[in-house]
Amino acid sequence: MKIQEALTKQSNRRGTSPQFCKNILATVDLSKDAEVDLDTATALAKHYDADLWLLGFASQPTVGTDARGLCRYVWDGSARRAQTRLWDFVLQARERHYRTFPLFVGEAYNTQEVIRTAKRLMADLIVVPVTETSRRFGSLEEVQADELLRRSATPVLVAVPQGSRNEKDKKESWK
Amino acid sequence: MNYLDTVQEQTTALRLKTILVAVDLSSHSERTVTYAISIARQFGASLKLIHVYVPPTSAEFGGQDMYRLLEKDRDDAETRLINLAGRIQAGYPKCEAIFVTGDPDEQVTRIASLLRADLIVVGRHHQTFLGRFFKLDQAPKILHRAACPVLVWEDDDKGIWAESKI
Repeated sequence: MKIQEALTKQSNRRGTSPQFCKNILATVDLSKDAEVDLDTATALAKHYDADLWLLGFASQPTVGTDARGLCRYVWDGSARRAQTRLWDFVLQARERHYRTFPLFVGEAYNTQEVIRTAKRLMADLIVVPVTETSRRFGSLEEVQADELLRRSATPVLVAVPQGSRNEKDKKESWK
Repeated sequence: MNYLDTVQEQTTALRLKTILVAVDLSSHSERTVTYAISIARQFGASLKLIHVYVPPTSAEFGGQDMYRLLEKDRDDAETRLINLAGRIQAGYPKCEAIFVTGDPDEQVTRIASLLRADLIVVGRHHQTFLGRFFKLDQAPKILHRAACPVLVWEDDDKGIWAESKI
């Protein structure tokens, strides 16, 4: 039986090479009001002793272009703030798991970029943190979520933080 | 280990006690389950295999014969699920089968809530244009309803989780 062979292989390898995740890619929304939950990603990275890559997205503020180049000033300022926020998250995550690294994308959330980066890093897992309070798919639009799930060759873990998990459980049990 | 280390350990430790694996009993299911077991082994979690039987809509207008056929079809599906669970239990004893009837995404999320599952593992393999057009893939639907983390993985020979890597 195919499955039994696979299971035997797994159990034989147990203890000798328990690791199957070496690179974990987590997306981070760097916009001002976004709630970022990296607990699952850091816990997984710690458990598997994997490298954790935080891929930060930040959309540029909507300002009209003008002759004096002020819009460039605003965009640059916004990008710098987003990068600082990303480093804050990296440093926070490093308190729990040291091998955490930043990757900055100076644009709005882009599924293709996530998939491309996952391929480039040869990531074993993409962790997409999603919170109920931040409109669940506010940062990760429903269409984009579906696209990521459909197109990514890398397994995608959609992480729901404990707080919103309990709320959803209550709603579900009420039904 | 000092107090701070202990607190940090508690806050960062990932606890996966129950993993719910949604299977459609197709040829891809075994690979999905094998992948889920590789995670379950890591965390010492128990595995629940769930299959949701979806009665065909035409059955609503059928006669007694139709119901008999449906019942047979349902029993077949249940037997296949039990057989799959039996094969897995030989290699990984902490495994149970759950068979339910209804809407797949609704039932999977309901059972996940009831069992207080820590993770739902779903395979994805409807990659055809029509499959996408008619939204046959259950993974996104489950994801939108689930209260716990959902792991969706490419259920494909070309995927990085091909047999050799397990």
